[in-house]
Amino acid sequence: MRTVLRRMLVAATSLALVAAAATAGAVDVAKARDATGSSSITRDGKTSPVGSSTQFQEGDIVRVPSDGRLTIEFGDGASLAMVGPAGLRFGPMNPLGRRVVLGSGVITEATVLGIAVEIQAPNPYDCSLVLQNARAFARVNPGESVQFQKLEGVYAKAYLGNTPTDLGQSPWLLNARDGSVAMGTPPQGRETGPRGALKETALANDGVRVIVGGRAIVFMPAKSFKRETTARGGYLLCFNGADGEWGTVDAGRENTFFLASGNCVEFDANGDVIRFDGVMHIYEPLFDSVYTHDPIENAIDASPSYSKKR
Amino acid sequence: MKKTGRRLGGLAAGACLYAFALPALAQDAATGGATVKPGTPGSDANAAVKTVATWEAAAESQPETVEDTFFRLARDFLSNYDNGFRRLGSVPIWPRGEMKIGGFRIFPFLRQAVEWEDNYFLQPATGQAEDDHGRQPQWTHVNEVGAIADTALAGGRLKIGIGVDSVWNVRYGDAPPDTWDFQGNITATYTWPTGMWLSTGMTYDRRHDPADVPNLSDDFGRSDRNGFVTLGFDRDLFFGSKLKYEVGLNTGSYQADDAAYSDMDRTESIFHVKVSYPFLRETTRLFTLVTYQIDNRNSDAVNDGQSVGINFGMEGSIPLREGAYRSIRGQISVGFDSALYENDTYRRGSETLVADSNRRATNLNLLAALQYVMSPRSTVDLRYAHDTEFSFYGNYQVVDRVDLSFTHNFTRRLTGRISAYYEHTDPSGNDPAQSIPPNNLSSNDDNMNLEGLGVGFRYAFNEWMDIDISADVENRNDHVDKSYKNYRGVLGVTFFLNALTPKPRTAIAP
Repeated sequence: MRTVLRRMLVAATSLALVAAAATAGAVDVAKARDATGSSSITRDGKTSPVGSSTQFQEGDIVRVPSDGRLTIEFGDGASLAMVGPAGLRFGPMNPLGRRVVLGSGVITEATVLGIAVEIQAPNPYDCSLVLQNARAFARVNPGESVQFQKLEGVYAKAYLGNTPTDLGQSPWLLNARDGSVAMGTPPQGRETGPRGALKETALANDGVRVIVGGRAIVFMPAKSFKRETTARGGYLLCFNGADGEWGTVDAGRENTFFLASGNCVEFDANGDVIRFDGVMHIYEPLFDSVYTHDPIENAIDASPSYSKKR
Repeated sequence: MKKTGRRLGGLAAGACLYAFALPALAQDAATGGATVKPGTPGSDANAAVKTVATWEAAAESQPETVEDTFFRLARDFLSNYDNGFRRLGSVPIWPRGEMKIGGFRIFPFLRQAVEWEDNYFLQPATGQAEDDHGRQPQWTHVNEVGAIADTALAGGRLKIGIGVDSVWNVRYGDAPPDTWDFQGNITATYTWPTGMWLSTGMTYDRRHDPADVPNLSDDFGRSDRNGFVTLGFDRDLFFGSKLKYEVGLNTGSYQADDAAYSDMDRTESIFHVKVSYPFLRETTRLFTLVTYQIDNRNSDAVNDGQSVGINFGMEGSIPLREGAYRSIRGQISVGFDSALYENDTYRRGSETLVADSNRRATNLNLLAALQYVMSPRSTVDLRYAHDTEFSFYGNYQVVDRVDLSFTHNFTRRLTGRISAYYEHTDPSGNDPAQSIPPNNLSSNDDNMNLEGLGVGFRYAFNEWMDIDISADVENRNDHVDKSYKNYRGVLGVTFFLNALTPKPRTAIAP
C-alpha cells in the first residue's frame, strides 16, 4: 500500500512538474477595466489612449492622468487599481510571477491571487512589494517617499535591497531623502507636504537652512515663510510678510532671491529653481578662478581689455 | 607668423565635452538591471525609471555645488553681459516665471529698446578728430532675442547649460551700418560621487560697438571664440585632507573683422591651478592660484609673450552678526604676474621699428570682488582689480579699475541701480614706436583715465513684461586730442516668454 502511495505521489509530482514546465514559458497579458479619464499606453515608442479592449504586455507604459482612474486586471482575476496621476511600467508577466514598476502615483488596491506580483519602486530606491493571496496599497512619491501597506491576506513583504520585511496592517514607509524606513502612520498631505517635511536647521536671526537635492537653501525671516514640499519632491517657499517687508532666500554661493509678500520661489528635487516671481540683484560672478584675464570662462569680455566689463 | 592654434582651443573643448559626456551616459546604461529580487527574474527598474519617472534623483549632499544653479548661468551670460549689451547703470534682467519645461529649465525673452548716444563714435570734444565722423549723436533700435536653458542628466551629475543672445541694432539717419551682435555658449559639468568634477564649455561672441578701440575704421566688428576645460576635486582624494583642487585651461581666439584692427588678433591660453583650504566659520576658504598664460599675437607690432602669476587670497561668505540679512561674500587676493615677451622688430615703410622694448615685466596683481547684502532691499557690489592685460599699444598695460554698484528694491515692482567706475591704464611701449636707429620722436605711451556713472530702473509692469530705463555718461581723459565724453539713454521693454501663461500656484494660507 505504501509503495502504491509513494508511486502515486511521485507520479503526481512529476505531472505537476511537467505541467509547471509546460506553462512556465507562457506569456500572460493584462486588460484594462473601469478606466476613467484619458489614460494612455506607450508601446514601442507609440502612445495611444487606453480603451476597454486594451491589453497590456511586458514593456508597456501606462499613464493615468490626474483626473483619471484605471484598473488593470490579469488573467487569473488579480487586479491593480490605480488613481492618477500615476505612471506604471509592465515587467515580465508569466505563470511564475508578475512584475510592474510604479514610477509614481498610487495603487489604491492591489488584489493578488495565486500568482505572485511584485510592485517595484523605481531606482534609486531599490525597494518593492511582493504579494501573493493578499490585498495591498502602494504609493511612490519620487524624491520623497515610498509607502507599502498590506490591507489583508497571506503573503505581503516589502523588500529593501534584498532584505524582506513582513508587512502587517501598519504602513511601511521609506523616506527617500535619508533612506530611513519607518513602520506606522505616514505624514499626511503628501501632495503639498506638511511644514517641516524637510529637516530644518535653525540659524541666527530667524534664519532656517534646508537641503534640497544636495543644495543648501537659507531663508529668513523664517516666521514669515510658508514652506511646502511639492508633489515631485521639490520645495516651495512663499513669503507672507507685512506690506513693505521683504524676505530673502539664499541658494548656492551667489544667489540671493528677494521676495515681497506673496512672492514665491520653487525648487525642484535637485534644488534648482524652477519658478520665481521676486527680485534678484544680479552682478558679475564673484568666484571665478581666472578672474580678470582674457579669455574668461563665459566670454563676457570680447573687447581688447578688461575696461569694458562693468 | 603667429596664426597657429587659432581654433585649437575650441576644438579641444568640443572634444572634451563629447569625451566626458560619453562615460556619463555609459554609466547610466551600465546600471541597468543591477537589482534582482529574490525569486524573480532580473529587474527592469532601471529601464523603467528612464521611461516612466519624470524626475532626476538628487545628488549627494553638498553644501556647495560646482555650479550655482541656473542663475549662475544667467549671471555669467545674460544679465551682466554689459559689454555693450547692458549699459552702465542698467538694472539687469533676471530669470523669472515658470522655468521648467520637461527636463529643461528655460528662460526665453524678447527685448525691444531704443538707445540714444550723444557721441556714438567717441570723438574728442577738443582738438582734431581722428577722422571725419565728428561728434555724431545716434539713435539705435535694439532688437534682442535670447534664451538660456539647462538640464541635468545622469541623476543630476551631468549638467548642461546653453545660452544664446542675439541683438540686431538698427540705426537711423546719417548712421553707421546696422550691426548684429551675438553671444552663444554651451557649458557642461559632470560630478562624480567622489567629489571630482569636470567642467568644459565653448563660447562664441561678436561685438560691434566702438568702445575702447581707436577710430581706425567704420567697422568695429570683432569676435572671439573661447573654450575652457577645468578638472576639480571638491574632496581631497590624494591626502584625505580638507583641501580642494582645481586645474584648468582656458583659451581664447580674438579676431577683428576689419584689417585696421588686426593688431588685436590673438590667441591666449591660460593654465591655472588652484588649491583652497577652509578657513573662517567654514564658509570661507584660503586659496592659492597659479596661472601660466601664453599670448600668441598675430600682429608684428605686438609681441608674443608668456607670463606666470601667483596669487594668495580668501573667498567665501561671512555672515555678519549685526543684522539678519547682512553678509559679505566674494574673494580678495594679492599676488604678482611676471611676464617675458619677445623682442620683435618689424618694418613700416623704410623704417625698422621695435614693437616694444619692455621685454620683462613683473607687476602687482590685486583683486577684490565683494558683495555686501545690506538688507532685504539693498546690495552693494565692489570690484577692484590691479592687473596686467593685453594692450594694443605695447606688450602689455597695467590697469587699475574700480567698479561700485548699488541696487535697491523700491517696491515689489520697481528696482533701481546706480553704478560708477574708474579706470587707469598705463600701457608699455612707445608712441610712435621706437625705430632702429633710435630717434627722438618716440616717447612712452600715454596713460589714460576713464570714468563713468550710470543710473537705471526696471519696472515690472506685469508678470511677463518689464520696462527698463537708464542713463549714463562716460568720460575719457587722455592727452587733449583723445579725450571724449559720451552721454547715453536707453528705454527698453522686455518680454518674459515663459511667464506669458502663468500656471495657478499652490494656494498659500493667510
